[in-house]
Amino acid sequence: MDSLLKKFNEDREKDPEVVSRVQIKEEFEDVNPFELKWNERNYDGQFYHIYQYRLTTLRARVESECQRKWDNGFKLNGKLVVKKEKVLDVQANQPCWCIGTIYCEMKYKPNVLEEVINDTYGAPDLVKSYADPEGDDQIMLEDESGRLLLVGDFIKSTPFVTGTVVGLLGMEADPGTFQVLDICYPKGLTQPPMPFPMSMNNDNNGNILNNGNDKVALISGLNINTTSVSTLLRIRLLQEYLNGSLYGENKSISTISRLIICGNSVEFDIANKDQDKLSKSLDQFGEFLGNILQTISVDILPGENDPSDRSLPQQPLHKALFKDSLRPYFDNSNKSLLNLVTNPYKFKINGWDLLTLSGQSINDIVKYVVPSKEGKEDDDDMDIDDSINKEDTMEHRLDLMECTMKWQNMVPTSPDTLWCYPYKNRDPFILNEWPHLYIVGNQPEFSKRIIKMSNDIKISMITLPKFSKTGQFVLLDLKTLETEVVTLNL
Amino acid sequence: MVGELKRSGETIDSESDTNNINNDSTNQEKKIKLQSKDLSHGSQPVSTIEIIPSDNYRKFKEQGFKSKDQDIHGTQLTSIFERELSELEHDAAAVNEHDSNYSRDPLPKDFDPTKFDISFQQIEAEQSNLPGFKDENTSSIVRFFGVTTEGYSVLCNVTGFKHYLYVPQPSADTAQDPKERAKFIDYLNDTFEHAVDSIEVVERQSIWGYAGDAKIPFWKIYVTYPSVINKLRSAFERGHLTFNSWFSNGATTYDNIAYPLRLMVDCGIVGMSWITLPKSKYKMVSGHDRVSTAQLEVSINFRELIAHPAEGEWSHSAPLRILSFDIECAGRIGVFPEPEQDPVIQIANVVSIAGAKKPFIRNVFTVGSCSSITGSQIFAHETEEEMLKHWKDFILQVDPDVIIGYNTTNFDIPYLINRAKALKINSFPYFGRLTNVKQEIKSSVFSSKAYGTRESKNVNIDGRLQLDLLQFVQREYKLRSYTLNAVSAHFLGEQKEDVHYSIITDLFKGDSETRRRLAVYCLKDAYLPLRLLEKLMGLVNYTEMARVTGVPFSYLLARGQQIKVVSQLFRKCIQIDTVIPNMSSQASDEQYEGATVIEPIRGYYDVPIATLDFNSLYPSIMMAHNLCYTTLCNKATVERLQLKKDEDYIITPNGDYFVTDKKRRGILPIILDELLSARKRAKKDLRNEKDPFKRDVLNGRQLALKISANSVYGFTGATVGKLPCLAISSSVTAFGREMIMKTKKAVQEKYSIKNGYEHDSIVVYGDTDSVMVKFGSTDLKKVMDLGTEAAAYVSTLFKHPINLEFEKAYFPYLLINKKRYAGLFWTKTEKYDKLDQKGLASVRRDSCSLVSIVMNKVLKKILIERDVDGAIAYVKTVIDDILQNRVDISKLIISKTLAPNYTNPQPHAVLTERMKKRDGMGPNVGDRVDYVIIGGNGKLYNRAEDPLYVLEHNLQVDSKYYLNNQLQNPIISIIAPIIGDKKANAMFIVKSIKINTGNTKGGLMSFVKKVEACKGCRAPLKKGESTLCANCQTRSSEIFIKELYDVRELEEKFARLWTECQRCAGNLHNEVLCSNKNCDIFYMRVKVKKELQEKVEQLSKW
Repeated sequence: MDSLLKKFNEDREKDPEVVSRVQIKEEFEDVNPFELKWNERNYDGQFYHIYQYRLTTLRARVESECQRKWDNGFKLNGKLVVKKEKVLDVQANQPCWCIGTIYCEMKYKPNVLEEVINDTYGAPDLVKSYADPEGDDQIMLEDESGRLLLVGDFIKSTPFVTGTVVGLLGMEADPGTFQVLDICYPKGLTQPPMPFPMSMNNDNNGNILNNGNDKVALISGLNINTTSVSTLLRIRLLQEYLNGSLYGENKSISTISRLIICGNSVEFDIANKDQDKLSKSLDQFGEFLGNILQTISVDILPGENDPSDRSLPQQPLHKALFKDSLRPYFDNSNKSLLNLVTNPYKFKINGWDLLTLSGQSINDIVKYVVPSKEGKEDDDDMDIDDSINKEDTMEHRLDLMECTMKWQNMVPTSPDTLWCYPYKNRDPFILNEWPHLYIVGNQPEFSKRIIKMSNDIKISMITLPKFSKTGQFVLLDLKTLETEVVTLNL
Repeated sequence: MVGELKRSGETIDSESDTNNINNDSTNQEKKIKLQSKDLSHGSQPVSTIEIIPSDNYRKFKEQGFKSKDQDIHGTQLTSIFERELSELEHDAAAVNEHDSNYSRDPLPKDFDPTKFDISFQQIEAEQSNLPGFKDENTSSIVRFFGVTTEGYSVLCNVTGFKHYLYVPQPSADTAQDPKERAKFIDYLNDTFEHAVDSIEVVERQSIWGYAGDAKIPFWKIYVTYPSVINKLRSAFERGHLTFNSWFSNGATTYDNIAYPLRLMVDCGIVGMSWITLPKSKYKMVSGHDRVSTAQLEVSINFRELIAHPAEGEWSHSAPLRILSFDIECAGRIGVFPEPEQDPVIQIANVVSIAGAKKPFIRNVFTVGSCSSITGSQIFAHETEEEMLKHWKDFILQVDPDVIIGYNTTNFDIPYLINRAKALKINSFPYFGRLTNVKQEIKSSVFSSKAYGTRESKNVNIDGRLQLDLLQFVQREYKLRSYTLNAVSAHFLGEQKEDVHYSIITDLFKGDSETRRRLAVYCLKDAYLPLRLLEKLMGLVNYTEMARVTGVPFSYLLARGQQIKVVSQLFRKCIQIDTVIPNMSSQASDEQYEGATVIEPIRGYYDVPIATLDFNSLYPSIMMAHNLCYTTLCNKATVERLQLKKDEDYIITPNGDYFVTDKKRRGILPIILDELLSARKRAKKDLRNEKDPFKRDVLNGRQLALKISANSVYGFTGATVGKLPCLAISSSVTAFGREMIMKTKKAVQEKYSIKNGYEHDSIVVYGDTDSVMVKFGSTDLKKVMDLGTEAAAYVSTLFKHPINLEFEKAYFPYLLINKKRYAGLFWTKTEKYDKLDQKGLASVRRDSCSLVSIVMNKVLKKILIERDVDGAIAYVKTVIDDILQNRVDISKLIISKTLAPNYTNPQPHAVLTERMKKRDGMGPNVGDRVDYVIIGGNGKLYNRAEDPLYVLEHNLQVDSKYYLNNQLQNPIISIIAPIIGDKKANAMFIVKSIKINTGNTKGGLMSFVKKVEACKGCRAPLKKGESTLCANCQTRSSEIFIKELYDVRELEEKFARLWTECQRCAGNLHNEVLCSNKNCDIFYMRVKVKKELQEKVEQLSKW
């Protein structure tokens, strides 16, 4: 017996050494522009306030850029280009530029009036695209005075979605229409100072805590669903991975300091109206959180399907959604452990500005720009000359993300087709400075691009795939901004 | 003249129209209801109308996509600019915005009356006279206003035509003496202001009755002043003439028709047709003799002009200028604008050439400054006087041929005239084509069985046609609501922001920006009638109707139906030397039996039901049996002339005698033959025509021909009409009844098992001109073949041109009652055409829209999806929704028009009084009043409440009322045939009602102390507990989730509703001011705002 015991002790592996995670510096802003307290909400207003504010704010930025670009004796066909104060001031035979909000009248936009008339209100929304494959949608420029219909080839080659404020150069064609020749975006923004050269992570004694890579894990689309075995297995794998229980990669896991969940943590189909199913999914999510919170800090954004607002900005997941065992984490003092944030949200980690959205905005913009293929067999008939990218590719989505940075509006299609709160005299979705990183979750695939804006400002754009579909999440190196995709295969 | 319309005459007319229109309704996208006794039958409920995509703007191929050229900011700029600029077209925009010369092109410099014919389309005819001028001893003229192909405006004075009437030559021998006739003329001239010109002896026949083929002598008495003719006629008829006792006992006079129509008939001029004035035959009116603004003002003798039939090259339309306008007035608070008090602040005008794609003028006249509008001209004025004078000058310059608008006849035009009067602008009311004729307002009352009593204002704008789209739509279509918003939504598929007249004043008193917003509203309101006119083809269809029937265009809106048949009758009679007696209009109690309805075999038929219809039943009967005024005879005549039965004459089923066409062909059969033959030609041409505009004209023509043929029968049955002949009308219906029974018998006899068919056929229903046959087979193709075969067989039993046709099959078919059924409509075996229904409660105007929604859905489930269980389940969910107060209030609204007074208390009248006490203002007489029925124990008329008030105060609607009084009978009527009366009624037996206490105030609730309740179990909360009691803490997430998802749902609803309103308003940057209560989401958006605020407050307590 003793020999057996002794033999067992000899064969036994050494206990794993305790490894500390890298600590990062996350600053929690006192004011979150996307916060909306329930008791402070007021639904007396209409949506014209947000459009007015947006136009007023961005018009000033666009105007300075337009004057730089098109003013001071600029001529077209021998005629002096003039500035128009209002959209309806446009006159015939006058090359001019004016500033306004783009409005898109599109065939397949959701129309509650038609649904009520046809008594189909409440039916699932199956629209993949708002755009008319026939090309009969109308793009208009609008301000307080009225609307102008925009025409010309320029329109076809440039993305236009509702809610963006731009300056347009052109001339009146038919009465009431405007032939566009060029576009002007708002004047470039500044960017917070970059952490380069990065300040070394020190403790109070001046010692260097870590000289390795500091990483955060970015994930979206967990879509926890207690009836799906594969989803549960992926979640279990993710949990094991984050806790360092997989493959013995303790060292590399220790460089992951935080997990940022960018939306759609639970899967819930509102049409089912099966509340019990959601409760079970939330319990599963709570268990997952409870387990990983013992080893890693977590930030959570709500997503489209999460139990939070339907309209933007979505508010943090409420503590009432979770079991009592998680209650201590919801204390404000534990933000460094569990931080439930809004969607959108702007993190400041190690000096980097990370603008994170759970994906509704880009998913909605895509519907404006990519026509649906359904019912259209003769795709080959499309013009070969079209320089348009009508496919829903990741390159194209990155193009649209880039456009949102140019438009300086992270959610331009709110409130027209993407629901939001009726703000009165502010629009939190307007960018007042460009972030260092721009992260959008719940996209079909991972992709990354570094864009160069005016004033030589660079923005890194990252799309996060749906974990439930791909088993992938992203590790972001906070020193080099390099990304690494981790795939958990079943 | 409008007041002369006869009530019962319209009734008969309407009945005939209804039958025939129903017979052919499948050939039309939109049903055109001329007149109908049962107006509710054919219309579509508003809630099931499919929205037609708008083509407000010309379409462009455009999409927003990322360009391959990344850098547009510098290098690519010039090449793009150059390419785009070369493609730019700006002439149209420039003309529209800067050019103020709207006048017609000037006449050619080399114009010479001796070298050039003038061919013009005449649009209006009016009677006048030229003082100091005589042609053929008369100074009376008929003025034709018109336009040439080149667009020149024309006023043509047709001279020399003398009005006349006929009287039979007296039987005395002295009457044949020319000298005695000369003395008689002197006598008449002494008596009648020297107005009688001459007497001509002619050979004529009376239209009334057959008495052989002999013509008898008539005196054709010409007068020099048309106004004298009525007195002259009365003198003859009443025996007031004492010369030689020739007419002392009174005499029948013949040919009573208005002077312009008389000339048109005699010269062969039809409404909206072309006239050619040959060179050298007409004279230019010069200098100070001119009375008009026309470019060509000419005179011609009536014998010299050439009237063209509207055929071939003369079927086109001149480039008519159509002006659509709208005014805005600044009203006072709570008071509808009055011209004596409230100024006109804006007038928007849109002018288009008939047939053109786009208007060539878009402008707005404003008082006060106004910022510019792209594509339009703004004329700002400092004073209202200045604006009104400028607008009048604008009208004269533009010189419209047609003036349209929405409710312009009763509001806009009279308001402008009265406003100018109040401001003492004496020069204003002279915007017609006659420079010295002042525009004046006359009131009239138009009364008919079909339209009820309508008070109307008429303004004489000489030389310009007026077409009020509101009147046009009211006359041609049956809709739930006739606001411009509702009509635009129905026909153009567009909602329009509906700004309350009180907000108009606020916008006006703002700055140039707010006035610009108002100007945009005004422009839209001016543009919509033009688009409606195009969409509904009002000008095209009325033009073709005028041409087919021969009456002037303006008669079509201002007069009744009879004048059209009268015009055709006169045109035919003049060709065959026949005169029409002036029958005295006497109301008669005599009735005759109408059409037959075969007793329905009620039920739900899951086998195909074939419908066999007689083509144009009543016209074909009149043609087959030669029924006419000219063929009517009696037993005495038959015996006197020794006529043979069934060879020389027939006896109709109700005992009337008519000669066959062997003896004489009747005028009515000739007219009908020509109308229906012309219709065949038009339909044939329509199939071959490729040009869309010409297709529209041909379609308008075939429609006018069809409507005209169908109205001939009704004309004869109008007992208070021009030429009533119950013998004709009652014979027609008698033949019809006989034929439909014969058809039923023949079909059931032939298609029976004993004749070798698989099933005995059964005629399950029949109505006037159709039978519905159940052949028994479940195969649709087989039933269609049997239907076609049966129709052909039965047609052989009747005289030409009576024809029975297989028209359609219903499969499945729900037969509820007489004139009430629904079925899935098939003409091809591959796919059904549509869901057809008749006479169901979904179209009733005094029910809430929930009824029509539910009925339409139930019918779809039963008939299209063949899912009876699903339909019943759906009805049960609706019943649950009503009982649990989950139905949107918009669907529960009942709407009624407020009349001047009521004998019994009416819900909407009592509500109006209450609203006036409560708010100080409320609906006026003529407005529609929206209300819902709320709970309580009071009388029904005391429980009507304004929907907004109900939402504000969380009042409870009366679920039982909506269930039992609104929904129960219509639903049972369509479900009972399928599942039985017992089960259907059982669905509506309510076991329990959920009472929602809510925030209702009053009564005992006032004494209840309000405490916070647990959100889970509603037990009172103890101190220290926040949202949940101790027991419910364990399931807090479950409860919170429910609350949260309520908010989620409402957030989406709020956002979707208000963003839709923002889009509909036409501007994202301005406040939505819409107060269109007819909009389906108006009350929804009010309700969701309130609900969301409440739910969010509840959620904040977590």
